[in-house]
Amino acid sequence: MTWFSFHPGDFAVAFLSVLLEGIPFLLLGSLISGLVDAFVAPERLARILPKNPVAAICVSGLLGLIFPMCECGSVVVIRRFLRKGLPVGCAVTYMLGAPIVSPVVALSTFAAFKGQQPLEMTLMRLGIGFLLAVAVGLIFQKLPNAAVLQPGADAAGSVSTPSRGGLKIAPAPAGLGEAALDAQGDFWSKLQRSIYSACTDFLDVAVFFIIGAAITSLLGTAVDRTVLEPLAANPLTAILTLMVAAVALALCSTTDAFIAATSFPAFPMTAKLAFLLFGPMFDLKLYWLYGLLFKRKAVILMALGLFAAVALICWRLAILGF
Amino acid sequence: MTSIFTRWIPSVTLAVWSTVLLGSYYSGRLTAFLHPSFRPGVMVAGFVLAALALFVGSRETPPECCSDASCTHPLSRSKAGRWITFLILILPVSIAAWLSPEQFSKQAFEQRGIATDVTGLGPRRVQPAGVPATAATPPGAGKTEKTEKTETTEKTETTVPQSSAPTSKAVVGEAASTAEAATPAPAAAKTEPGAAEPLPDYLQRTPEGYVIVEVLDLLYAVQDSQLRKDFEGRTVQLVAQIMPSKSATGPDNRFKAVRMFMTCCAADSRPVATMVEASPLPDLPEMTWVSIVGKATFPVENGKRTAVIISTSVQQTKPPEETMLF
Repeated sequence: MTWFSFHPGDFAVAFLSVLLEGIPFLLLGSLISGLVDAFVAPERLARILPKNPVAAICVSGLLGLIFPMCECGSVVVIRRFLRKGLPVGCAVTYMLGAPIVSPVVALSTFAAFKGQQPLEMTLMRLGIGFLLAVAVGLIFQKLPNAAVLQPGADAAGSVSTPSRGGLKIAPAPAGLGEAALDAQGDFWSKLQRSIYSACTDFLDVAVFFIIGAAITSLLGTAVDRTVLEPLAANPLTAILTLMVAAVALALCSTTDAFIAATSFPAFPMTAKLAFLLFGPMFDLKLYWLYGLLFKRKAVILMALGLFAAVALICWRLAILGF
Repeated sequence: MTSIFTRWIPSVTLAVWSTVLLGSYYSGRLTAFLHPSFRPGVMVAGFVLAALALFVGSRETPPECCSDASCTHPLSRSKAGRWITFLILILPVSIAAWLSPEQFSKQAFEQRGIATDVTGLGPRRVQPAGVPATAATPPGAGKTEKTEKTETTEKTETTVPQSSAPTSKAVVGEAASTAEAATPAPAAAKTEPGAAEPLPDYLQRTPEGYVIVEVLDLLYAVQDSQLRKDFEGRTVQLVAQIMPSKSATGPDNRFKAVRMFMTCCAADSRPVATMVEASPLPDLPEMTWVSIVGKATFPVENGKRTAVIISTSVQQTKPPEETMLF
């Protein structure tokens, strides 16, 4: 048996199962996105965020605790918030942080690692995940939107915008401001608008979700996983291997801990931690989804930066004996 | 032409997705793809998508709506791109839903590495064949055997309802006819020759008196002395797929009884297996579903305890309703 062998039936089973698992979450994110589109004005966003930019980004990193969202759903929601004028630093921080810093993920990680240092694993996953999301958010905040965002991904006219403590809250596109939203009609009219927006978002994102799911299923069924086992002996190769596996498998962050805890018995805890940190922040389907918001170059640089940071942190933890 | 892209194509796409989701759910095929906890979400999403399809198809899209191509992805900004998008949305999922088998091939089993112990499987989460979900102690917990035994006994007494579901639902055909009728063993018939202890109340038996087990039951019993006592020496019935043993050191009259163990969805499942001894070996193709009857044993081989069923009967059977273990 070779390391790569394509089997159409196995591919179809894996592909369909990934789609069936992910679509309800994608739909949920799209429905929330539609509601945001119709009911939340940018001015309200500005009032919610702290005035200090660093504080605002830190708060964004913790929003997943009260507004949990897996990575597929968070991309859709953030896409909408960016159009509403949410600062890109806050958006990126929420997008990267929410799939990790959430009560659902905390509980699933703790349960999955029962008997394998569950508290340490859970705290480190959420803590390091939060710090990484904030760090990336701060970097993005320093960059001009035009350098990182796809054309049209943010609110129009974001250069001359009302500022709130250094955070630029863009004015809404024509017809989307608070007054415009209020003037748009009754609740039913807004609900109709939110449904249309939800449908558009769902279909937009589903295209890239399908492409990502196909690539993931191909790698998940065609590659012989037993060839990975020799790489578990060295901490660094073990970490790098499971990070690559996380990219290829593209699991949902709400349940990936069960896979990490059970599917790689030969691999050390630090490698599993790397798997749990990097997977929700970047994988093959996210590469396509992020491309809806960010320029490809920005996506690739962010992925490489996160890869290096997670690998170094986990390698250091391995040296320290975790 | 605009209404094709803003009204009819989105509506048709949503309707197709709804059909796939609801079709998978109501045909029962979903059991092969998703963990039970995810299945209600598929049904709800199917109905929501159907409602959205009706809504979008029933009226013209308002001009101010974001379905205007200016705020969608680049593919949607040209006519050809919109058709490509439509095909990507429709074709792969339709073809996969139509043609996909309901279980992985032998190749997938081999590529994922067949686990024959539960060291890497973590704690049990869902109750399998009549065994309490909390009965097994997670590996690596560092507990002493005495602690494990005490905890197991306590949980057995407090968490297992009298009507706890055995594998009965998961078995079809010949095996189903026996398993569906399975009931907790009557108190008068609890002691079996060769078994060290009376049969615990939570274990289920076929009308023939065989204890119904799953692969995971035996693998967890290897790690848990209390579970081991409950199974050891008893005549058990196991439904699984057969694969060759491929062990260089073990006896040559053994094969593996394999099942897929699913965490979330089929894509993340991995095979687990227990050894079965048979003389002669069954003359059946690999991956055939069989009902195995035999004595559960837990010998120490090469310094490691393992689970082996000394079979008296290996018969071909239909796949269970739930082909995956959870």
